[in-house]
Amino acid sequence: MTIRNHFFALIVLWVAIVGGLILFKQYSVRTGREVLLRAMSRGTHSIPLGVGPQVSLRYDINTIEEGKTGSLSSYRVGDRVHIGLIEASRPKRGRREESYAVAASVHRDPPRGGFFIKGTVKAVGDDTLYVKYGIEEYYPGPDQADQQQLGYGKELDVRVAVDAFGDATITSIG
Amino acid sequence: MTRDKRFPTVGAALIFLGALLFGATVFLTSQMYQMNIEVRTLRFLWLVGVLPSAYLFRSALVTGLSALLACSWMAERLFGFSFMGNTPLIEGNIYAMPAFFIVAGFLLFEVGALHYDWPGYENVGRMYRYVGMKLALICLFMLTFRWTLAVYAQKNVIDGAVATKQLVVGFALASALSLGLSAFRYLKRPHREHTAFEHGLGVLLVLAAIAFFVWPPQIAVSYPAFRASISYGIPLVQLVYTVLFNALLGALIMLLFLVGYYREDIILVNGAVVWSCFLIIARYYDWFWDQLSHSIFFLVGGILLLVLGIVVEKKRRELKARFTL
Repeated sequence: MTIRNHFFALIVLWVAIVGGLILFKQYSVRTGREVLLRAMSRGTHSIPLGVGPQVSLRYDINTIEEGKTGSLSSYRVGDRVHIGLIEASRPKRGRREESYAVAASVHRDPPRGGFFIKGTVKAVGDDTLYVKYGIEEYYPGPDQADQQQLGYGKELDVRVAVDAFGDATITSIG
Repeated sequence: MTRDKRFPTVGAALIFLGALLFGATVFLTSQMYQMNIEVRTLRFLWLVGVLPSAYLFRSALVTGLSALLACSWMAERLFGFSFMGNTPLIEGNIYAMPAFFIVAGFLLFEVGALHYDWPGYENVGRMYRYVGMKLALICLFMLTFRWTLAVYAQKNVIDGAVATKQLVVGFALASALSLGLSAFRYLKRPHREHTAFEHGLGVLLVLAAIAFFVWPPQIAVSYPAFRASISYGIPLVQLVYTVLFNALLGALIMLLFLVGYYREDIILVNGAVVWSCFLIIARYYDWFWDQLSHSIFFLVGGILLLVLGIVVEKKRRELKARFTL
């Protein structure tokens, strides 16, 4: 192979890596089930190599309570967990046809037949778990950089697409 | 530009810029598409993308970038945390970091040495050796301080904790690979000048790192034989490690001088000069800060450094003139 062919092969590799990342994420979004989650903004911050500020989010489902989901004593920090979600009876503010998804159960392995989101245990309390799902950071984009809308303490409705493997992606926020 | 030799430096710089921009693209794409991917995975993808370009263009700069990405990814994978991420270090593993990087540095050094048998890739090999050497020197330097080892012992950072399986396996693999490569290269060319010193010192470094990993100061203190305190007021085990790592660092600096002198390589000699200055200044501070009044400390230290600087500059100038001839 000539140097030119090697060069083109390198370009193909780079496009495949970046394209693969995009396709992988689009798979989650296109094939996933969209749910509404209740969250609170923890303010914006910049990240290295980032295009703009990111918003930190804290969801209701980040905190799992023992009373509602069964025993949590066997879980440790770093454990991979699968949180069963149900759409609760508490409707979204002002819109009765939509409800927030809440945590209903905790599993080590993906539950069969259930709708679940995948997360990692980050902290263990007496009767609670703090679980992160990888959707706690959101890049609002240049058109939505409204600091007042996403400022610290603001309650937000976050639409998340969850695929069959429990991987979640934020689709919109407001 | 590099291939037809019209503007080789600009060409090399543009290739390096391209590698950096590829990394930026990976990170930006993950941010813009709200991707739920760990920073270390993105860094690994960056490495997968730029490593072929290091060989395609025989670029020393891209090789250096690849080596740093590989080391940071290995460290994140083994120690279970993320640089620039928000995953905290597993507390039980932190003590092993300098030891791991010494082994990783030696492994990179040996990987670099393999490239010298591959025509046209000597500068790639040289960069691997440079990065590996720097990594090992920095971590070895950290372990030469008495107070570094005392901090380990006092904080009991692994009290009640055990090194994770992935760290033990990763550390063992890296050690085995580095020792295996060193043995392979020695057996291939046993009569090359200063081969025995180079390989012997490398093996000693890896063995010292393994010893530190298996018996860190706070564990070693629990063995009755090491509990004896001596008149210097520090436990014997810390003294043993302090002397060991200082001796190894001194030997490594001597090797740099030796190889630089025989190969007439002023860069190696300069590196050796810089590191010996660091070592001398650090030991002067380490031993005499508490024992001298501070004004005398700086007075005597200043005079010593001045004399040292004059001697070093004179010797370096002589060597440089000799190499040029």
